[in-house]
Amino acid sequence: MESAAAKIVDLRQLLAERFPTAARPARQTCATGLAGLDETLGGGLPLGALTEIVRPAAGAGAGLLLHALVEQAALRRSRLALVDGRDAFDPDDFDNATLRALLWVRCRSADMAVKAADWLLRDGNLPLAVLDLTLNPPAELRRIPISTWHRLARAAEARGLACLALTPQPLVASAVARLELVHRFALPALAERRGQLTAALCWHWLRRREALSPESGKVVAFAAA
Amino acid sequence: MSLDSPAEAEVVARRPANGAAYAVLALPDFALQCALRALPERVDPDTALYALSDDEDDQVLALTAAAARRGVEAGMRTPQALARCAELSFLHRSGPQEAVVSEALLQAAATVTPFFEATTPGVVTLDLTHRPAAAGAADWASALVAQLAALGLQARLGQAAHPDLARRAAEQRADLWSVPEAAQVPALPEILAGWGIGTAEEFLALDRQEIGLRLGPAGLAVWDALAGRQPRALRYVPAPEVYREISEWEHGIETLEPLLFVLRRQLEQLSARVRASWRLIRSLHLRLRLERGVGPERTLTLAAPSAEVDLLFRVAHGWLDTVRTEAPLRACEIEAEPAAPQDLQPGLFEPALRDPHSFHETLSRLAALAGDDCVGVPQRPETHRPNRFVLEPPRFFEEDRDGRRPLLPAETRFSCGLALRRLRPPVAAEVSIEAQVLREVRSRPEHSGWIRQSCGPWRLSGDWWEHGRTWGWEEWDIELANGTLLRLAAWQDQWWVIGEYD
Repeated sequence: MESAAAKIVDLRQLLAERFPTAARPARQTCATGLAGLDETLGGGLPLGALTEIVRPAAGAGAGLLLHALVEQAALRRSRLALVDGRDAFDPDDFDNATLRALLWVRCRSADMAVKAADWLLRDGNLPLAVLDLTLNPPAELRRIPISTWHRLARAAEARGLACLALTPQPLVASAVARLELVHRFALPALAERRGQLTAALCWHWLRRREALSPESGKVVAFAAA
Repeated sequence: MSLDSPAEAEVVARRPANGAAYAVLALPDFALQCALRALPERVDPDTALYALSDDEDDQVLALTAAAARRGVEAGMRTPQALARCAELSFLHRSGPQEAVVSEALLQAAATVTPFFEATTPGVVTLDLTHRPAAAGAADWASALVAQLAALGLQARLGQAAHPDLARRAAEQRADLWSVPEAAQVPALPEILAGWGIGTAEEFLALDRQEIGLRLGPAGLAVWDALAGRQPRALRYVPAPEVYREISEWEHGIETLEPLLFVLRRQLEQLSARVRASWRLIRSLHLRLRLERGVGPERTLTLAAPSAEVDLLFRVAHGWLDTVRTEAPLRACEIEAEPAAPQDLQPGLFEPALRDPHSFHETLSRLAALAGDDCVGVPQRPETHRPNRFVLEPPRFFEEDRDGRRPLLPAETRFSCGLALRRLRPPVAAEVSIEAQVLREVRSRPEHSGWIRQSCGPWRLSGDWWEHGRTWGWEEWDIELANGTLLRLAAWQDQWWVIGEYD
């Protein structure tokens, strides 16, 4: 017996074939500069949508990913907003020229961070907003209503911005893409070059709501993994 | 000189090959026009018989066209003038009217360009080289003259490449002897008559070098003056440095709504006045006066200069919402600091802020939510101490405007190891040590456990000049049994968890 998810997939494909003009155009992406992540996401973080990267345990490389995003934003002469859920960002790793590309919002709770992210997405001036909730206690995160995530997604969609949420567990109901960091670094990694560590980051898909078919450019639906 | 009818107010243009860089707006017989405006009823100079007389010398200074047709001339004594025209009426100069007309003339000039000179009473010189592109219609000259005609003033406007040439065009003084330099060559009239030269145009058609050979430096000075080659810097009428609006009330205002109504009107007036001088508003200073006591005041700076009333109102409203006073308000005063419009040329490939004002408001909201010292661009001061930074207000708009995005080094500051996620403040911990090896850490649940590996200590110096504090700070990198990587610090037998590596 077919699962409900499979039936939904079949239905979407049928609709896309019967009404090709009604298919949504390919979603544009915002390249992060991290080759592995951009390739996995099909070009970069999707614009006008939420992307979620889950860090199930400390040492998986979420901080490394965040630092790489800041570096790449500066190198590409773009700007980045970091909504820091537990005020954990360490500027010591950067020089002032790189830091000038960053707007840092130091929050003390998940609730405060989500509000700040909402205002930044509605403002629409900075092309990429990163919401870092990896160090927030699970009790705080559970109090965030699902409707809040949908509101953030609508705000990102209205402004055509990219929003990346870093979470300790799957949380963002409205994310079009959800990845999980699977690598676990050990103590010797502290002596390795950061470029190698960043290249060693790896993830697998937890959920992908939509993707481009490379041949036809049609929207192809995927079931949850 | 006689006044023509208003219908003959004209634009006299003398356009040399290099274009009209200057224009002069002149009111012929300025004093007479002002005196006529002081009459209780408006008169037509083409039919009314009036003359302006000098109180001291009892001479006719200026007269209307109608009086000129009756044979009256400037310079006649008043009895002589009356003998020519018995119906002639005499007027005296009106100081107040001259002040009003001068102000109207300057305001009219300001609608064309923000750079103009009050050359003499009744004469304004406009610098068209700095005329804003947004100043509009090509027929501005006719519109300007018509604007003054609507006020009952006859104006002439001359345009030329040089201010003095433009003035002579406006005053219709194209004759050869209209320049003061001509008086330096006494024999010039006879010489030029012998050459068959009678007008300034004919004189200027001669070769300058030949003029110099035959008439010497004095002749060259006359030629240069007529050709407008002598430089003259205009003394611009300075625009106001501050624009101010004040509203006062008999009865005190106790709620916000009536204050907002008054505020909106004041901002509309300020915006109109600032726009009229081709400028925008950089900041607003609001000052509230109370029935008793000192009232609050605040300077509100805009992210980018603007004269949009809605934006100014939103910014002012945002502050007024937070104001609480102990007494009713009696007055509201607003000062607007003007600024020149800024041309923003964003880079083709570099994203600029779409809406600086909206961004400024968002920053204010974020600061209200998280704290003034919790939003900004982090910058590291000149120190080697860890975890030292300041948060500066973002200058994204100014960096975009000035093209001041910094060049970047090829390598970042640290190129090794994982990123440290700091705990602010650090969390106290207890560490068990056996044979100088860290064994166990006890702190929060996620930071507690047996220590699988450790590296350290790395000693950091405190304030070296304080005895007993040097090299007292120890840091350790540890890996717990569950794989969590932490940085611990020890100071005088007290341990903290500084952060997680991730």
